[in-house]
Amino acid sequence: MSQSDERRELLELADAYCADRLTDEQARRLGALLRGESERQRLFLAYVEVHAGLCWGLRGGGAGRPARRRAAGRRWLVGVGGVAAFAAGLLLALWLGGAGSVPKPSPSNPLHPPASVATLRQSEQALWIGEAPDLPTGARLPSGPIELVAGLAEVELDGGAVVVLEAPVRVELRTGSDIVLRSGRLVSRAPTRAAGLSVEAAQARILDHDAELGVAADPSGPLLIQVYQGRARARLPNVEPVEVRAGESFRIDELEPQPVPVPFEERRFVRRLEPRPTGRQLPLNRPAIDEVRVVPAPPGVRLDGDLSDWNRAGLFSARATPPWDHDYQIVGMMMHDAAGLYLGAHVRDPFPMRNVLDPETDANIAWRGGSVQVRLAVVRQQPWPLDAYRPRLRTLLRQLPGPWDDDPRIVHLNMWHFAPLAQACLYVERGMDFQSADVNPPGYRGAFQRDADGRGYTLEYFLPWPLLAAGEDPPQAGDQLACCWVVHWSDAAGRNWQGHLIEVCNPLEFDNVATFRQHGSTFLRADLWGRAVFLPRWRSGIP
Amino acid sequence: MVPPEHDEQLLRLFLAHQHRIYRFILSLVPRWSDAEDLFQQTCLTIWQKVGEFDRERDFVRWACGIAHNHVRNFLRQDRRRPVLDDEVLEQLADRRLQEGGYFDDLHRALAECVQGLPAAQRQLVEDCYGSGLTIREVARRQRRTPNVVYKLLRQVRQALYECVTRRVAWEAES
Repeated sequence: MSQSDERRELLELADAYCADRLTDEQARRLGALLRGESERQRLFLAYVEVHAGLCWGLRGGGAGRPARRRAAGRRWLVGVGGVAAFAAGLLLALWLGGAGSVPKPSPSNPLHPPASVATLRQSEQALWIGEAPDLPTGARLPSGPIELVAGLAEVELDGGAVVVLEAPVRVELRTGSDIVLRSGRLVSRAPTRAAGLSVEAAQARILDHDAELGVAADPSGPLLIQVYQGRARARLPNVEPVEVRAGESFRIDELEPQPVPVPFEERRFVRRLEPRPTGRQLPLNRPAIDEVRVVPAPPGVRLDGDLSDWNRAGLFSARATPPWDHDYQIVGMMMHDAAGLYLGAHVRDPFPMRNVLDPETDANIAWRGGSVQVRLAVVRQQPWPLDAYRPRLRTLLRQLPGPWDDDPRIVHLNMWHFAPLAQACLYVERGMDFQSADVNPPGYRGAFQRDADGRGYTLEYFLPWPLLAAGEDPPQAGDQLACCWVVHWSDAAGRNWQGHLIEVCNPLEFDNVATFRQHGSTFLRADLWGRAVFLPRWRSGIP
Repeated sequence: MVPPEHDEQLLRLFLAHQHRIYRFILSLVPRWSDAEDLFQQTCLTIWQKVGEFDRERDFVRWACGIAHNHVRNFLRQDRRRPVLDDEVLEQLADRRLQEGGYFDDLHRALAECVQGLPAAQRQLVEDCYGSGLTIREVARRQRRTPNVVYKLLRQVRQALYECVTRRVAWEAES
């Protein structure tokens, strides 16, 4: 038997041991393999450590975890978390007689509160998860995890490096020169005088001395590193360190043996917090419509960028407030038939169809380059308004999770024209937790057409019901489903976001929120959405 | 009577190292319900023997020694299913204590490796380890057979094992 075969067998036996499923024969074999063999024992125990660590961390042993339901029939009345508390309490009570000299164990270090390691320099529309959702400029940040669910923030670490965080982003501040990017995007600048910066993300450790670099980490996808100035070194397991120079971008994927070069995109990351070119707070309008009618699609609709063959009975229009009302407008419409949903729009746009954000690498931020977004919940059991929130926002608001928060029938559709390939692109994210996403999924069709005067465009899309997770139960006449439209405008380069317009919204909820930050966060709260009212489908014989 | 400052020191040691004691037990008794009971018995014995603890000694070794005795007694009395014989278990316990630092490193890496799992695998881990449900109950909820859940869970454990060992090896080199 080769070493690799033996290793595989030992790991399989170790797993059966963890699962408490060893047969007598397997137990004898495992014993024979382990007896007197220190290396095998080490390997076996390392595997069992995973099981033990999961039990400790998830059965309730990890500090600060909520209490969990216990299976019936256990001999003790408390879980492992309870065991810890029980043991600590017992020790306290019996050893100290209730003396107050011992600090209580808490979710953080019970004996040493975390030290501050950074300062919030500025923020824009920022919404934080934690005790203080509105952190003021100048706030000191302790070591530990921080999470920004909306907006931008610039943080200066005590080591001198400056980090721009772009929501949604989760970061752990370890020290004044060492951070971990759990998910999301950041840009770091470590000036020469600074102590340098170590950014750990996914499987890489990036060392930044005198460089400006962007890092994007997706927990379930590749890591992207882009260097704007200077040089950075990325250390990866089992691979020689990679040096990334100014003007270079690399994708690091566990599926690839080496980092893969990708095109450098200047606007891939937000490098600084600067006033928007429009110089105003967003959005560009106040929503005025709470309902859009989804009308029957006539037979034979062509997707060619021409809406003349559409049933326009359900169209709505919206425009920005003066003085932007002339250049920033939308006329939108929705139709349906047995096969799927039709979305059409005419958008006034000074820089139409210039989006250069690549669906291959930047689909999740493609809205910045100009797009139309439609959010729709095909949850027929729960008509409008839909109480579904992004889970992190629930945490922030100290609310329990809602039953629809992670429903995949809630879809966020982003439609844009990728100029380099003249491609009608579609990005679909599902659930208020954005649990999954598809780029240009099979089955959809789309078309764009530029206006003759070069100041606007028309788009048409068809999305089959299965793509919207509604193949089994598509909307029927009379359904009122939560829906919202958002239009994004870009600059002449097709990369830099200029502003957006939100329409088809729930006026009651909008009246309840005072600030733009909440107002603009339709991706966080489905109860802000208006409704799509489905009319009966076209009957045969009726033109 | 044990002086209070001694108690306080031991309490702090206990709070800091309780996860090591628990993981030590679980490496010898993989069924978590058994391990929980043994952990609680160990906690009680630690209190009963508080006067015997020499502060110059290694607390983890001392506490794990107590835990090991409970494990021995338990396995002697509870022979529902033969797993590993006494000799091998003794060797494993020694190895676990000798290389405690290595296993602590693996434990530290585990949280990050769990974070790096795809969402579906993270959910499976949460369901199987964090919900208090049995595998059979998890399978029923997911409309799968228990065998399928066991197989999926094995894949996740193997992925986590590869991840933690790779991480620790990498950190040791860098």
